[in-house]
Amino acid sequence: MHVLTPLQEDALLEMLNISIGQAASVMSTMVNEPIDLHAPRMKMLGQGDPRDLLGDMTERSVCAVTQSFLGDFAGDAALIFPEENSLEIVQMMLNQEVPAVSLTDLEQDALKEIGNIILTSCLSSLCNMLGIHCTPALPYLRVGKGGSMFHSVSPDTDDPLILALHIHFQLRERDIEGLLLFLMPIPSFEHIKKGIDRLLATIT
Amino acid sequence: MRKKILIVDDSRVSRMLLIAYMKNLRPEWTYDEAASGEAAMEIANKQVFDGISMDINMIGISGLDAARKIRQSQLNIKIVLVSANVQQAIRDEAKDIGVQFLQKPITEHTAEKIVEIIGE
Repeated sequence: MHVLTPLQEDALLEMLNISIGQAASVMSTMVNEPIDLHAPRMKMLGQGDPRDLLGDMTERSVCAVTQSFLGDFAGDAALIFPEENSLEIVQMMLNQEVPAVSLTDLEQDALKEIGNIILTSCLSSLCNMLGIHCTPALPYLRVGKGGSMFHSVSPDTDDPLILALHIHFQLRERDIEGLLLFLMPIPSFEHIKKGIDRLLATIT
Repeated sequence: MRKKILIVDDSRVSRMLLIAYMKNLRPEWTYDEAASGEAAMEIANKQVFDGISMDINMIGISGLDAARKIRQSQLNIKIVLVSANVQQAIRDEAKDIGVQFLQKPITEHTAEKIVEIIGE
């Protein structure tokens, strides 16, 4: 059974908290606004369950930047915003440095770049703390109903469970909410557990 | 003094942002763009640049590999990797090939650091 001990879970959530904090700082810099974070949560899911993580975004139209990661930390990450807020986020990112003409042409590119920066900076700082390595793939942008966005993890006949980490955040002054999601098939989690144990060994 | 800079990033928005910030600081410099490592290598084979700003995670060859190859033919060129991938292994590899590393997101400060590095 691939589960974490309470101490391992505590350590991982704390490291994720730190990484998310750094990613939030990055996001705040990009949109020129404070970001409020909720505490990260961890959940074991069966196939098809990722939709449960979306909360009320399940039924809303969302923009999702998804990115796969390979290596010691293997899985998928996603940054999700309500679709109606996506253009506003792009405008906040571009500020006055880029002409306002043809924002539509740049919107997809800007959203992918926002997602790429936030997801990659979060995961790479987590990997630094764990002493493991990951290679980010290119980001993709998907638009659609939240619940239809996520499909089952590829079937693993030995262990169909996935580990999901999710963090709800909010752009404070504009009341824009979003979701950061990390999905890992359990078999790929062994490197992370070893990294956690190495870290715990230095302090226990 | 005029300098010729190549901005390499698969994100058009990132290229536009960086060029805008750099033009604010150095309007007399000239700026070319490339959307991939391969395109950057092709351009760098035909023109001499004073400096290159290079993303790492792009379609095709990585920015690290492109930077390594360009340095082999243009020994004096100053290359700055600009990426959200802050893993120590990446920073170490950048150091090994003699290029600088700056963390995304791209801000005015990013442009200031690039100008500082390339303007030396």
